[in-house]
Amino acid sequence: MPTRRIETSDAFDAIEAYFDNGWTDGLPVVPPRPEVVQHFIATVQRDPDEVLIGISETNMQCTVETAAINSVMAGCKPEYFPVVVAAIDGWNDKRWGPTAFYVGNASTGGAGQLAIVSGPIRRALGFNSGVNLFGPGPNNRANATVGRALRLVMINALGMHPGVFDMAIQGHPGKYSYCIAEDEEASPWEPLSVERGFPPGTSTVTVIGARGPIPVDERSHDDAAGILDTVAQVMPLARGTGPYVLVMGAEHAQIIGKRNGWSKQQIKEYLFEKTRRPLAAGAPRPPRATVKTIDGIDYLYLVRVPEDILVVVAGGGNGGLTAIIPTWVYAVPPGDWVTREIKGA
Amino acid sequence: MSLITLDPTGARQVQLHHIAPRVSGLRGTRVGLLYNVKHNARELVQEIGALLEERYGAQLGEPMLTTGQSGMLARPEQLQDLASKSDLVVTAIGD
Repeated sequence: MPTRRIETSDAFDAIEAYFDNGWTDGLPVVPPRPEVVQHFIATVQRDPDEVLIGISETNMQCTVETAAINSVMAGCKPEYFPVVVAAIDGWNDKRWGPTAFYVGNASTGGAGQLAIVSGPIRRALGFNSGVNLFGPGPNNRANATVGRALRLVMINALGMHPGVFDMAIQGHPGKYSYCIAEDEEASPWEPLSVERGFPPGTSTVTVIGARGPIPVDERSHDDAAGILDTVAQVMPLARGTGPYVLVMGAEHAQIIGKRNGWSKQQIKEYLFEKTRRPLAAGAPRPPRATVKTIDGIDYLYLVRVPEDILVVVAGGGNGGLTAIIPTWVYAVPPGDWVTREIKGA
Repeated sequence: MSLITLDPTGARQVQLHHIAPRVSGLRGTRVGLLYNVKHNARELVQEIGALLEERYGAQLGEPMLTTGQSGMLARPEQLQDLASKSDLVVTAIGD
């Protein structure tokens, strides 16, 4: 069925009409003219009517064209659209399981959908991987509008309306837009795309059901363990339901990885052990959790395996800070993360 | 002059579903109970089950099925298993 056309007198009336219809995240949208939408669709080699994802609970589907309409509304440039499509492909990845994607977005826990961009497309499209990368600014158009496009897709195309299907008790600001890029140039380690098994030079997006970033300010240590011990203290308090993302600022990454020579895997294994807690005698063992008996004491681990801790270098190098992002109903297999290649980029 | 723009809402998936056959009565009916592991959900379905047993002679044959993780929906194989052992199922969520 052809997409319904809306007729208004001008762009200002269109903006108000989209507010009146509830087709917004609360901010004015760019009126999506058909000819502009076509430019977006042309950036991906996909049928405009192809269904990218459907949610049975809301009984709604998002096609390539619908994703393009919402990307225009978000303020994206056409060349950003392959990133949006790859992220939505990631939402439809079978590793989420049959219901987790819906549950995570509907949940009272209030998660957003984090997208982490890696590879050459970051620089080609001007993604911000440095100072204030979670925040606003004229240098953040790619981050802000790609993340916003994904949220508009969630609301408009997939029907996850706040108060109806999205029952977040509070939500978090990242639900307006939650897209960052990896600072591969400042990282002492391999890029996330390579860590996830893609050839060097591949552009990827990693999608994660995620609560807001919790900053761990640690400027008093110049050794890896000193910094990570502070991170380990905060992680259990930053409650999630599964894996954890560490968005490690460039200064921490340089101290830990370059000056002290730690690998990402060492960080993961160190934090895995540091965040375990003794399990009270007789307490039930949570399903699917890792419990190990050490010197006669049962320990409950915060995550299932060390690889459930993702380390991504991003943020300015002008201070020692690492953000902890707990995931929410991100029911992927142990140690796995949903990373998709950005095609057409 | 006018401006033409596009509707950003997703397509509705149209599927034909049939309502389950109605049971003719509750006496001797095998009742399954399903809850989602959240607070108070277990108590709610247990109480409803107890009332069905006490007042209407229903049989609470199988133990309550859980998904094993708070908030997660039942897996298809769990639903199939429950359906094979029950004439009707009472389900509720809590929080």
